[in-house]
Amino acid sequence: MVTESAPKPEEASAGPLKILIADDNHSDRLILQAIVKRQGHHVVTAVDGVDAVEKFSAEEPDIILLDALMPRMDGFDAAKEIKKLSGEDLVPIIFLTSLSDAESLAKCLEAGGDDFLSKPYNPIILQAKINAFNRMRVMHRTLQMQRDQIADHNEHLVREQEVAKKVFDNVAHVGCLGARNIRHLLSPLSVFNGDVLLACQKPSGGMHVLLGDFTGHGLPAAIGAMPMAEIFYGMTTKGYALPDILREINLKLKTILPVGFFCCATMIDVEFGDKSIEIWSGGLPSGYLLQGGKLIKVPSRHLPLGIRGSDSFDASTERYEMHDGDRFYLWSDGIIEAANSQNEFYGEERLQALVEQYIESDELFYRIQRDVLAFAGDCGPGDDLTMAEVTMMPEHELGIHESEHASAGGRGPGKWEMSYRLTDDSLARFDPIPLLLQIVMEVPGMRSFNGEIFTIISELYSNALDHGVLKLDSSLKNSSEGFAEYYRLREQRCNQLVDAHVMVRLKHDGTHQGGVLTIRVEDSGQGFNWQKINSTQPCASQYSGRGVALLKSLCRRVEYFEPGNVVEVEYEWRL
Amino acid sequence: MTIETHLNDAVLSDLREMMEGEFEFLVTTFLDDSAQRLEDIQHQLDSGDSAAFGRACHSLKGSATNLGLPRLSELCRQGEELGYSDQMDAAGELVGDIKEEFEQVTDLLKDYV
Amino acid sequence: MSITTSRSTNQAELTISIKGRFDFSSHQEFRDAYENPEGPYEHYKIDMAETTYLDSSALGMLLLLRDYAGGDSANIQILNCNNDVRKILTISNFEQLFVIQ
Repeated sequence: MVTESAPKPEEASAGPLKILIADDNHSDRLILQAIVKRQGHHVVTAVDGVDAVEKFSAEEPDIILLDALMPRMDGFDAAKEIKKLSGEDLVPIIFLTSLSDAESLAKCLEAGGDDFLSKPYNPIILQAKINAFNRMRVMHRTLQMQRDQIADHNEHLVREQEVAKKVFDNVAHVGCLGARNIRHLLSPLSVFNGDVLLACQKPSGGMHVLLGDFTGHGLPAAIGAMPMAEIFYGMTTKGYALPDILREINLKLKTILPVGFFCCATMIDVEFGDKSIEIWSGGLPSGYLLQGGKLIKVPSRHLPLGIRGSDSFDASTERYEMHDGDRFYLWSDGIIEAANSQNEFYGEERLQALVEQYIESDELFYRIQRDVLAFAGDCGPGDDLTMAEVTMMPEHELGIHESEHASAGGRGPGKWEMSYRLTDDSLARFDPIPLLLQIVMEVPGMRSFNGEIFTIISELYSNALDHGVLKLDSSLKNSSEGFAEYYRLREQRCNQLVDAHVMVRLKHDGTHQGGVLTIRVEDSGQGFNWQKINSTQPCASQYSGRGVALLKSLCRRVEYFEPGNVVEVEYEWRL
Repeated sequence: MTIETHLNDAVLSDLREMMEGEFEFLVTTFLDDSAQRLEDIQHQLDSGDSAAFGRACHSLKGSATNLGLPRLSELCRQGEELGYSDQMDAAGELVGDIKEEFEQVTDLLKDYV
Repeated sequence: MSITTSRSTNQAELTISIKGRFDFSSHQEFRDAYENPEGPYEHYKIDMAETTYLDSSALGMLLLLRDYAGGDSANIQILNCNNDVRKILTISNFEQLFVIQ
């Protein structure tokens, strides 16, 4: 940080000046010299234009008194030469002349003269002119200095921003914005206009996408974006659910940002397995869900991130079905607030009309982009035009591979077992999967199997909770109405839990470069007719929601125990 | 005509005060310089270069004004005008007047010093 | 943009009226309007009858006022918003923090 203050320019009145007097007339020169010396200044004299230019270069005078008509080089040419030599410094030139016709005076000004002094010389007038020009000269120097200082600071700032951007890119661009189902628009320096777009695959498959718009610009905006990106990626890859991540980001921003600074954001959780999207939005314009050719606007329901404390932060989300080809648009206010030369906003109406017109078009994203740019015209929408389109598609078409986690190669435990039992309230409120996954990941080498293990544990746990404890029927999810009903019932039953529990037992038996993880999950429900699964087709029964086929494909053993409320699986892994 | 027609006493006494000990040197310098400028004026008159004649008169006018010599200054102004408007017919007589006035102020200034 | 204030006779209420665009350029003026030696007051009214536009830094300034006036116990009403201003306050869900009329 540069903190030294600007060098102080000399005071206008203090100190003698160096004044160049150029006049071919000896007696006039003598008189002028006497006047100027009596006023306390130093004098340098020149006898013609050529001499004046040479003395100017050698002596660097502060102010020049220049006769117009002189031999060898006249005052006009000398003035031009001197102005050229002085560059952007202000060297006032006062023409000494008894010329009185307008044409000659104009010639003096054209040559760079700043004022005139006519004969006979009046000492008082000359003094007034010298003082006035000196003040102007000092002011000019101060401005120059401040300008240079601003330019220096600016250059410094730009360099700092470049470094900060590199750091931010390293933090933020580890995600999956490149997946085939995402199109996005983001200024290269967006972190400094406060816009952030993050996308990350979840270990279970599916992805989180977050679009944020911080108040303010420059470094203050970037500072909030760093921890936001860290939390987003860290928690998403560890398998945390969207509300938990939002709560954490909100708390972090609330803690680090000063009052009055916040982040408007929309965050979505896209599930490619059960084809759904979960949306939280605080402070950004409505997101657009294009569902089967229909537009559903998903408005912001919450305060932006970083305003509420943890106790009153609301992480509740809305969940929608999304079939393959359905799309969700999220954007910052840069789109609707893009202004044209008449200072009109692009506006929500225009946006909605365009979306409805091209709702079936695969080109919609680009149409919006082009239309906004065309609307803004020369004014340009500026830097903060940020948007993303997320399309539902079969997961294997996304074109991304599970991020290769560097093998920790540590000395974590190879042989261990644990059990973890959640009851009533905790069942409803707490998601134990990230925690359990963390523990399993301590096994050296196991990190590469993060995704599969997450899938197994979360399948088993949600079966136990949703079907075992909450007695929800997954076939409900087959229709749109049922889909909503399913989540409504789930919410309702979560609030009425008595004497309910889910117990997870984990046991790991390590061998060289591999091992067997045994997971046993028991719930307080009444069980179900598990034999039926073994006899019928894997996906045909009402139990398809239990993902048994998936479990069987991942585990070497899947075994249910009477009356169907206990299940045990064995997962074998090898490096 | 009084002395005031030739010498402006207010200007001269200001100069004397301002120049301190240098006043006499200033007057001598002026007289030497002006003698040369008169030669220049005569030369331009003879050559018939009216613009150069005007410039030469302009130059002497300036220093005469500074020294507080109203009539010499006024005659030079007329010469400047004749030169710039290319009316050289009347210039010969005017140059005679300028020379005469210069001789007169030379005497008066020497007395004044 | 200009900001004017008026006090109720019993000194319990401060009304701040904002004319024109309410954005970052109003930062100091808005602060000066509510941060004065007689404050904090019991009630604040923000009159936006003549406010044409709000940006996010204006929202930030409202949060600063809320903080100054006691945070969750602050008593602040936002009055007479036009449609555009209202829309911005709604998108940000500021009705959770302020009484908007």
